[in-house]
Amino acid sequence: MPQIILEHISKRFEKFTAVEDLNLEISDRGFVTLLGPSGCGKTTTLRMIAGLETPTSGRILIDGTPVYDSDRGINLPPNRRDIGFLFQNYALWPHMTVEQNISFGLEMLKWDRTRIRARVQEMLELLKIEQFGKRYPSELSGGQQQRVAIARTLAPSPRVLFMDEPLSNLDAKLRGEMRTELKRLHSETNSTFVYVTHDQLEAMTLSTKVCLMETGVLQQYAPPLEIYNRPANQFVASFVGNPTMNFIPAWAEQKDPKTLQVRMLDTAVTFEADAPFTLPEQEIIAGIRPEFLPIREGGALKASIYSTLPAGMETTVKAHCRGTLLTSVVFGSVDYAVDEEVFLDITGNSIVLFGGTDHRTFASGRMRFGEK
Amino acid sequence: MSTLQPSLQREPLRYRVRAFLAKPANLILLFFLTALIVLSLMPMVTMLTNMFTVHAGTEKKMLRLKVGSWTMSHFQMLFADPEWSRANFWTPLLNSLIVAAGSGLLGILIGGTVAWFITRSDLKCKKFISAVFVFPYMMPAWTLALFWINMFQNSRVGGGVVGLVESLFGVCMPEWFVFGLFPMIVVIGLHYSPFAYLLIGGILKNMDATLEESATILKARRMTIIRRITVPIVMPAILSTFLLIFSSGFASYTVPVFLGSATRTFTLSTKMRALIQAGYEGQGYIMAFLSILLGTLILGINQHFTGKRKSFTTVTGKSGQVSLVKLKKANGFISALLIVLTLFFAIMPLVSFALESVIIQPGNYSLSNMTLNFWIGTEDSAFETGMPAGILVNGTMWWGLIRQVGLAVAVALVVGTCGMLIGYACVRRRGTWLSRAVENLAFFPYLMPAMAFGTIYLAVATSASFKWLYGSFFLLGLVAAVKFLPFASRSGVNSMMQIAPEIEEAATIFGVPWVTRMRRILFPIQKSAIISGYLLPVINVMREVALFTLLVPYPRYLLTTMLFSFNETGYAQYGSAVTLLIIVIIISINSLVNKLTGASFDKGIGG
Amino acid sequence: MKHMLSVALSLLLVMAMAVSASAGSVQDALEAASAMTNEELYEKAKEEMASGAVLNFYSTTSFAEKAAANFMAAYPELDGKVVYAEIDDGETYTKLTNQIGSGVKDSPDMALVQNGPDLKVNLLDDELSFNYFPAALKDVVPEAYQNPTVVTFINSLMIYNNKEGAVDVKNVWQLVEPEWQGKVFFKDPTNETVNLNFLIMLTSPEWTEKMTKAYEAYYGRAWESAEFASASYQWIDGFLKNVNYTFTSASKIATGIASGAAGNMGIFVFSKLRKVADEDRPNLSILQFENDVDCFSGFMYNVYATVCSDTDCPYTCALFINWLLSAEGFAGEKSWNSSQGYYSPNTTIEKPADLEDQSYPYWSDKLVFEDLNYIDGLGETYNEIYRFINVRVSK
Repeated sequence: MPQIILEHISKRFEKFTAVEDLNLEISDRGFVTLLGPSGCGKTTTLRMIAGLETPTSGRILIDGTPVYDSDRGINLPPNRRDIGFLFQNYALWPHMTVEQNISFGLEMLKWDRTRIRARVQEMLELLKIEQFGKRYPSELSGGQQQRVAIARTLAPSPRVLFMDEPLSNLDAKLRGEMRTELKRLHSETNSTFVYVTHDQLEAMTLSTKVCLMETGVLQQYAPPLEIYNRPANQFVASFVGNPTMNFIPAWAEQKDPKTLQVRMLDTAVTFEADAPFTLPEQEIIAGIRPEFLPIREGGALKASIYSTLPAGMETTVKAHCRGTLLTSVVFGSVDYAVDEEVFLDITGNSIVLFGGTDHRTFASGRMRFGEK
Repeated sequence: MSTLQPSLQREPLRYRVRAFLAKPANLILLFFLTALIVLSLMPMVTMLTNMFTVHAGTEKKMLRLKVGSWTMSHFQMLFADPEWSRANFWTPLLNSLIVAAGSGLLGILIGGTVAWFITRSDLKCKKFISAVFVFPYMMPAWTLALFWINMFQNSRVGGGVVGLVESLFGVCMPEWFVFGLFPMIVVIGLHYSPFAYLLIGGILKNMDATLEESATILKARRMTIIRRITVPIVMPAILSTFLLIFSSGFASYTVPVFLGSATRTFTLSTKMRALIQAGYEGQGYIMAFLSILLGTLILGINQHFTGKRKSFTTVTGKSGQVSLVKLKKANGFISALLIVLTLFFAIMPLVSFALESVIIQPGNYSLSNMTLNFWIGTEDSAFETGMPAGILVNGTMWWGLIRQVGLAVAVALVVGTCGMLIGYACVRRRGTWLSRAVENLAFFPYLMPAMAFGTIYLAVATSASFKWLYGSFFLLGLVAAVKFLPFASRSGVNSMMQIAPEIEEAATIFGVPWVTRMRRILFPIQKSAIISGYLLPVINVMREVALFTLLVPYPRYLLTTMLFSFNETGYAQYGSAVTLLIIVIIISINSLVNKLTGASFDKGIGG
Repeated sequence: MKHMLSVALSLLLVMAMAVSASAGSVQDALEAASAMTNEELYEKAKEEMASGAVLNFYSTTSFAEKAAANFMAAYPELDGKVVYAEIDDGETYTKLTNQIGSGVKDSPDMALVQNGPDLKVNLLDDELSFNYFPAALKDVVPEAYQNPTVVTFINSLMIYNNKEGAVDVKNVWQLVEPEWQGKVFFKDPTNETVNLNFLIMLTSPEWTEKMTKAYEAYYGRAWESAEFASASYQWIDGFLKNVNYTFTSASKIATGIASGAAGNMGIFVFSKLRKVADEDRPNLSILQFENDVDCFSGFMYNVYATVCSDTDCPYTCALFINWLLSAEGFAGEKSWNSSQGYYSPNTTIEKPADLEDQSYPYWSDKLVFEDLNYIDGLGETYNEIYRFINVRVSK
């Protein structure tokens, strides 16, 4: 049961810290995404688990076996960790054909010839690249190269598969297709997938659990929807979701354990939380996803249109409301004239409140206009 | 989930050491660090002490002190007496600087212009020009100097011996044209212009064409584009090339010897040799040390510029469709001019040496004055000129040739492999002090004048613990390996930089052992660049003289040292014949390897 | 391992003892050899060769190779174990001082070297090499050339291109006149010690006197100068101003003058005339054979034989030196005596009559001879003279 556990993992380079005291538990057959902006330490983390990078301190267990332990001096090489690794730039060997690329690793694992041939064939079929077997990587398109890279990685049936931004070099359409493929492969291969990406949509759509990092520090480790609806802090909230969540400065006063009287955008609003909480400070920030700020007649917030971005299925509207630029998503294709006057409403039950100075989430719930 | 608990202690030292040693790159770096400190830094230390000690010979005779005792008199003599100081230090220094700067500028002017025509215009016969243009770099620099003298000496300058130009066209060139600083600049500049051509051409070829195209769209004129866009972009490369030629020109010994003797134009390196030869070794070493200091300074400046260059040139790989400048009517003229010039400096020396090797009486190029005795003469016909037989039927010559080629191949195998390993390890551990130390140490021998290097190794090889080295083939190989490591390690670093680390890691995941990774993955991918890295030392060894003269058991041990003793003893025709032989061998090796593997020495420099 | 170590250690010990022992014994052996006949030496030499020795020797003159071949033919039982190695003048003492006593393979047993003062200071004074002279020749070789032993003299003569007739040089002071500017060819004295020694010799009291007289004869007035320490210095100054250094070796000067402009004059090694092509040879005239020059028409330097202190075949060396000093050795087939410009200190050996040359006694009052005792005794003054020459040679 390939369960991966990271305990107090840190990685320091000469002058800066890439990963700081990271604790993580990746369960068997999960599809875990390491998400974060570039330079947040997610790739370093992945490489440390794979054994390509040596942590400075801490402990890593795969399947209950310590593969790295700074106190006991354990550091297993990658090939003894039973893993596969898919690189961002594919790292196909340019001087070998597709078949050779796939079989090389198996030869190194001392498989016998017939078994290798069968496995190569199986892989070519699984990834639908049978016709390219004799070609060299340079004769393939980016998507095909990606498939070869996946085939090569999957060939020895690793129980854990690490992927480092594997789709970032593909165009939007191919990326979509490959996402589907990866999800299918995950269920077909029965392996644990650890996936690094900076694309929040990819993380949301693919994974069973997302590990969001920033500057080497873990921000939140939770299933995608929880990340989306209950972000641990303002950073998480802003990183996940497109268009980005609206952050509106507000001033709050606690009425009872679950209710706040809020003043924002020169408007009085009442907030009702899902659970009891204590207001940390009176300066707060209200986080409202664009889909919870619909444009509708009777909305209490008067705003003037700044720009309209119709995308077919939905339309993103940006509008000025009392000096603050707000984003709203409207279903369907709507077009507004610039400076046109509209009214915004607040709906939904996942409005999040952050502390004004620590930017941590302290409550989530509903909002309505007016006082209690 | 982020925790605020203090981070744990670092790994215990012994585990860190173990983890450190588990990486082959670290082992390689440690090995080379040790080896290079011994082989390249120790000679430097020896040299430093030599600046303050009494040597056998004149110094001992003059100072009446025991050999090896400490003294400051070398400094006093070199700097305290203004007349001596001017004659033996300042004037030669000034000459060296003029030659270095002049040849740097000329090399870039010629190399850069040709590079531009080849990469950016619709010039005719590009293939021919670019193939032949690099010849002068393959020839030893002194062959060009000899060629220059053979061509232009005339009845009015020097000893009044008639050269080819005068005997064919009756033109007498003035003395400044034939001897002195001017021809030194021309010859060294020409010798290194292929170097500039390769480096600048490489940048021009890889430069994103859109940079120029966007200027075209803004209606900039072609010359404006070259001046405002192209030149500034290649400027760091130009500067860095300039500095490399500058330091090579500064250290050049053979060219100033040939072209400077007649006019008493000494450079620092020829003066250094003269002082050492006259027994003022201490002063010679001081000069060697000062030129190393200058070399280090130049290296520092160069690193500064190449550092910048990396951020400058964007290699996007999309610059396939460069719109070539139409030369229109000028095309024919420019192509013809370039062909004539390249032929003159690449092919003519060969013709000239061939001629000089068959004429009996210098300056007389009539058929009746020719003989093949210097090539295939037997004892009777050849003895009059002091040699038992013509070079092709002469055992001594063949042995010299075999040893030279053997040495070249052996050194190339060692140096090429070391260069590749250093390249691999330095790139993998880039940014660590160890990597920096090894890279710089490996480049250090480049700065040591070959002569000083040879002298120091002679002292080492005759010392009690190393006497088994003396006069051995191994010693020659060792010295050559250290001396020629700089370019090999540079080309190793360059070629390894082009391989993404993931290419190797992808194999590591499968548990492919390090040796197999090198053999099956890295080497095949960079085959051509790596073979080029092997080729460069072959060429270097084939044409090296100064480094070997002191270390060979006898002058006719190697072909090149034999050649120098021919020149000293005046067997001009044998000298020409052997020179021709050396050039032909170098060019053949290069084209053979090129045919077989697609590699070529110039890829080793271009990187 | 332990066994190997002890073997290695004892080997080292034996070697060390052999080296330290040989220094004394070589000197003794050479002394003993001096009194022996050639037959006795031959016997001793055969023993040495039989025990594995090889006579390696360096020489700055390539004729030694032929002399060695003739020697081996004359003493066949030595089994041909005499190996010649050419050595460049400039490297001679660097190589020898490094090699002698180092025990390196093929290290020389003896050497034929030029530049006496360096031989004395660097080798003989430090007992890195020893002198050998056969007692039997005491009366036929002038005493001055017995210690260190001279095996051959070599002269450099004033030789000019006669294409436009004879040049009228009768006094060396003519050569410092402006009309000779760029027309006198001479090898850079800072690059070749024997040429340097020639100029240094001119500063000796003997030559200063001669030069002053020649000055008076030429200019018709007494020598006087505030600038120069002596007439010789003044001549050196004027001479070096006129020298043309285009040709960097004696051979090149020879061939260069022969095929170059008329009226050019060189002071170069006489024997290098053999390098001049037959067609050009008539263009050259040897000044001395046309005029008697006041007060010299060239210079003479010596090639010495010296036996290395770590040789394992001192008797063979002695036999070989005897051979070089003998008529058979010096005047054998294709040997020194067959060429112009080589002279044996053995006064019984004369130059062949058919050669355009004269024997050593003829030259003895016409050339500047190298006197190692004068040069060696200069001390600090050496530096001053060298400095005087050096700054005039550099531009």
